[in-house]
Amino acid sequence: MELLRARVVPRQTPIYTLALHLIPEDINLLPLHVVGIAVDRDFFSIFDVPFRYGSPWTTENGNDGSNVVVIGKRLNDRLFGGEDALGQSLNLDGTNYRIVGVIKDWNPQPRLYNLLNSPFGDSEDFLIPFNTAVEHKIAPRGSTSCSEAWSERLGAVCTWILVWAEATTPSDAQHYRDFLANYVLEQRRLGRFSWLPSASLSNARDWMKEKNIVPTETRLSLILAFGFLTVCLVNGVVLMMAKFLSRDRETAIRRALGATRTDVFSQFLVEAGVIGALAGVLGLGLTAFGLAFERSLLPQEMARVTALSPAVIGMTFGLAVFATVCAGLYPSWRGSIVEPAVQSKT
Amino acid sequence: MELLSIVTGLRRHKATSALIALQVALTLCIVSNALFVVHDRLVRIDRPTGIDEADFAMFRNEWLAPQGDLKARIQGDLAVLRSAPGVADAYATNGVPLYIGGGAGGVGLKPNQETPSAYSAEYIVDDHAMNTLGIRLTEGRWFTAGEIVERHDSPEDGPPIVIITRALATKLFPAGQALGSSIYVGKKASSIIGIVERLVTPLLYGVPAPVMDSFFENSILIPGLLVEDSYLYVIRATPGQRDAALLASQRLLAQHDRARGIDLVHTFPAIRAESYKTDRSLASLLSLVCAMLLLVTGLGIVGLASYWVGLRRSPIGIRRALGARRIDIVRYFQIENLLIVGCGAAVGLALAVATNLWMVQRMALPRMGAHYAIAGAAIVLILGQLAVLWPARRAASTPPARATRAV
Repeated sequence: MELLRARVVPRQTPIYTLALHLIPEDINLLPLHVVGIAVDRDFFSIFDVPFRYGSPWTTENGNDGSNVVVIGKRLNDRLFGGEDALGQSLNLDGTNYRIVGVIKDWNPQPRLYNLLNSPFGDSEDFLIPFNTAVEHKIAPRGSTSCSEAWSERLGAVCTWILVWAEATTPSDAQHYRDFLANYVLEQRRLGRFSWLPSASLSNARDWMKEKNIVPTETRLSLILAFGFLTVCLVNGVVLMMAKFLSRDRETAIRRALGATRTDVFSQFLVEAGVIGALAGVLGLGLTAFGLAFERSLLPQEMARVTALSPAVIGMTFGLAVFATVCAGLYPSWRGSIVEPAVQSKT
Repeated sequence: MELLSIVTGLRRHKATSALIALQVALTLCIVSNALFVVHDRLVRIDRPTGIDEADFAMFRNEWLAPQGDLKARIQGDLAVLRSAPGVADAYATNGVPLYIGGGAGGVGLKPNQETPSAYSAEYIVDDHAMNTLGIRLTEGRWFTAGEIVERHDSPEDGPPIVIITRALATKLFPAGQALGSSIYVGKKASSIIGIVERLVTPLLYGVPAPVMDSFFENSILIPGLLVEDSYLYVIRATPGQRDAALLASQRLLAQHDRARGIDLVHTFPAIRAESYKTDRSLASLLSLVCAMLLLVTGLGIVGLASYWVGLRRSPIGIRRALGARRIDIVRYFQIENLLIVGCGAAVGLALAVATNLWMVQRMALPRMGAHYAIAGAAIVLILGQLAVLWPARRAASTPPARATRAV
């Protein structure tokens, strides 16, 4: 708790997952069981959460543990038919919460902010202030290392919340790391932690790796993709060999007319590059089709991560040209060593 | 004699021949491994669950605190469910096959056994479960209403009686006589009163697929009414009424008592599709890529053979003029192709096995049977022959006279 009160970085938020009973006032709607998270107001800015209606709760609301809630699009659609639900109340586990915001269709994949619990999957139905959740003694759902009852939990030595801190510069990050190390050492001196300090600060990418969220199927597909690329490149080498070697007469005449081997070689290489570029454009078009197909195959949870970003498009195109030029090296060289005399004689 | 001249011919195209052989080897390696994974996954998807899937529907019920007399509320719910329109039968449980929940743990033949004799899923069921799930009882009897006692999530003592699946019975008692014997899932002995043909485990969170597959059909049925604030209701609909019955039963329960939350509303086809979605998508993706790979390699062979045909116009003309029939020319190209692809396939076989071994180590995939590699070799050999046919026939159509004109 001390950790959360200490303001070392400009923006930080604790997160824990909770599941509550939602009993709609409308008697025609079924009572639901919904999953949400308890966070600080900073969560919305750290993860750039887009709002359809309303806004995050105010700092005061967050601090004094008011009964306010931000709900997801899915829940808003289900309960209020997608209409503006601001100011409506939501009965969660017998407590009425006032809706202050409705999130747009927002579902970053993988959900790195909450990898401790299912990293892929649907976004949360609701978000409530961390202090409110603690005040109502709402127990966390999902993976924790606690065995104590909830009432003792706040002072207990176990992991049940995640803390995200936004560090805008590397020095900020270092600063926070030092702070964590000191905090752990200090607590150890006070006799609270019996284990050795193992405070580490993970950044987003390491965090994904550490939690090992990439499934075997994805790794198999990656290996397959590289295998496929290799076969295609070998195929390209073979075909370019055939193509360039079959132009030996033309090459011989050019050589006889004074072109150097380097000239011929670079001409072939440029041709390879052009083929690569054309293939790249064609390939990206096919990729768009393929992706639509692939999306229909992959589990919904994985499909959400399959999207083309400009960086990926650029990389793919670059790879296509680069690979084709590399594959063209040997055929170009073979094509360029034609002797002028031999060919022009026949 | 002809073979010798083919080999001599190939020596003039060492680099190109080696490259196409390499491509064939890589293709074979990828195709056979992919076929193996595809087949493995398809077999996985096809495994029967042992229950009547068509009329199955479920949802999770979570009581809102304070719960009061939970047992009476659950019994009230069950009475409502069993009389709901379109519902043939229903029960409350801790787990559903292929989906969630259920305990899983070691089963012993002695009390406090250090290493369990087998691993198994544990389902808490009542006297209505057999009818609801449509399980086939092959030996002994099912639980009676009097044997259904109040139960909680983690019982320390073992139940006095259990029913187990055939697979678990065979694993624990290879010599037979499982019925009437005792097993240990808790501190006290549990006597086996019945054996069911089949009932598979739920998905166990965090357990890798190969481990889970190793005890997929091991299940223990424990008689009881689960008195917890969160559990699952399973209903069996009358034929054709499943979706309507699922909606009606939720509505009736909500009318009966609103202080609850309902989620995880599913029918069995949806559960099956979701459970095997990864397997199915991987199988389709691999098949698609295999087909494309074969196409690319086939086109590569066509391209190269066409180039060689162009290059050899004059020698072919001479051979034709010297009396070679069309079929001889075609055969020449076919044998040449067989040589190259054969070499590639030989290398590819070794490569395929090596790749599989590497994947066994790195990704806990099962070992590939040799027949997949052999099937892969057959595929590339046939592909090679088919691909060379068109260029070879074009070569064979070279008129004999051409030889005299061209040089």
